[in-house]
Amino acid sequence: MALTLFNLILIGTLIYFSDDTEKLLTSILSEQDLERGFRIIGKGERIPFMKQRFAKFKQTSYLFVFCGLLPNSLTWEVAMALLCYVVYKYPYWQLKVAIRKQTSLVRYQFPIYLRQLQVLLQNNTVVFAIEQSIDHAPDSLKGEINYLHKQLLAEPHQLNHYLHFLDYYALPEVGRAMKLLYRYNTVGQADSYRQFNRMIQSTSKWLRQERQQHKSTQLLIYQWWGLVPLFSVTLVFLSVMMNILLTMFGKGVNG
Amino acid sequence: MKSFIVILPISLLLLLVVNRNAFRRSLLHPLGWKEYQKNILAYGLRFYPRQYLIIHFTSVMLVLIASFVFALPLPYILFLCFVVIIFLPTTLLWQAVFIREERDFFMLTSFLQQTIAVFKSHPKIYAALSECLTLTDGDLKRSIIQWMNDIEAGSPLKESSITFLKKVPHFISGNLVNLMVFVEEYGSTEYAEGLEMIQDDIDDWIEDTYAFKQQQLELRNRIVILSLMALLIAFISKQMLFQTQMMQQVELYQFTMFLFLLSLIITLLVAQRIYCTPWIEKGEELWH
Repeated sequence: MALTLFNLILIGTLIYFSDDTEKLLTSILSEQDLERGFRIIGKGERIPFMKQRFAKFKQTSYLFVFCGLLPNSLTWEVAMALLCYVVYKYPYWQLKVAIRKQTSLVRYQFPIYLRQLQVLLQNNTVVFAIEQSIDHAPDSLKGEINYLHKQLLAEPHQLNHYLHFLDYYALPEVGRAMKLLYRYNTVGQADSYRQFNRMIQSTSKWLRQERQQHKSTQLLIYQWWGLVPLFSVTLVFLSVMMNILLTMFGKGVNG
Repeated sequence: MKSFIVILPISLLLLLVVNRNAFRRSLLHPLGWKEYQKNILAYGLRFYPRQYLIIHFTSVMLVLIASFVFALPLPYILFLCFVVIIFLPTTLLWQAVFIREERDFFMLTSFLQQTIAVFKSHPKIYAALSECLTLTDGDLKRSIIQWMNDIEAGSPLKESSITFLKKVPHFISGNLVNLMVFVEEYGSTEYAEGLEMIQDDIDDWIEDTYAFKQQQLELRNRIVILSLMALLIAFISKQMLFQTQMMQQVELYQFTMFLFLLSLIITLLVAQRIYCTPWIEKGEELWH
């Protein structure tokens, strides 16, 4: 009874001070990397996202009312608290999965784009090569390349434009490649040739590494299939054993 | 046992509804072999009716032998045979996809390599294409002929390559076309390095793809070996049970054996599916 009363007061408070609770939870429980995540997946904003999570959390919390009425009410209370936690966290976990997918796509496609750029650099300046590459750049990078190009048209020798390219992905390889690109754009003819060769070598290595990793991930799913026959034969063996045991106990040991 | 006799035809019907395409090209369908023949011919391969029937006969015989060895009742045997007959043409088609993809991949890479070699010594796109055309076949050849026709008709070099790039949207072919167009349109003396870079990319691409296909085949063989081992263990278990003459729960034994054989068939089907993935990665195709 006491537990039911406590739950009712808790839910009542949650409803009455809904806006304040929402603000408090948004400020305390909001994850640090939300902004970065929305930028990576290219959609969504922090406030509406948190509002939606809070609404779902509130709807789930109404179930607490029934906990006090059930047998083993404390266990149900803990289970319900866990459910509320999962309901609250689930959209964030989904966001994390989307971020991971997008990051791995960028990691895979950036060296491909860099290679495109290197071919264009054979006959063009850096800014013109970037402009030429936009049409056939990977979709995951197109928006950012467009933005970089606009910035470089205004200030072609500004290092920050290169450094800020895809910086929210926090991929050290991208930063390194962009620094090399900047140096290639700014240093003299003899030096630039050396820089360019270095960039080609590192891109080749990176491209192969990403391709191999991508392919081995594809194989990973199928590797589990190899266990299916072994698992099913184990079931067969167990059923045979059970058959023998049932027969023995059915007849009696001496029977 | 009676309940299973009702459940099995229902599940078979469900199987047919879910995999309508597989059923349409199976021997169970009156025009199944014709549909299969159409599919095989679409992949540019030949259809051998005798070979097709022998494979079916052998597979069904293997299922029958296994079912009799494990003493399965008739409804279960029929179900397993139906599953094999329905999915066998699909697995044979996967094999055809593999052969076709392999042929196309090596045709494309050798064409690109040869084009680079010819263009290096004489930087003219039309000349390079006409010299390497003999290495190609099918859709690839048609797209190159279209490219050459467009050049002959006086279209700009970049636009004329669109048909080819739509057929082969891989970034390496895009890079090669881009470089060749720039060299021919604006002239350059230092294009050899760019061509070498693309040549290295092609070599790496071939090496990585081939290594991956080898891995896939190894994995398939490993799964087949594991399946055979599982079959052997099941056979030993069954012999053990029959020798003790203690079998009372016949239905339970038969049902687990049936599930085991079904899982084995499904695993072997999946094993065939492993290496049928495209040789050219979708993520590397940018010139759509």
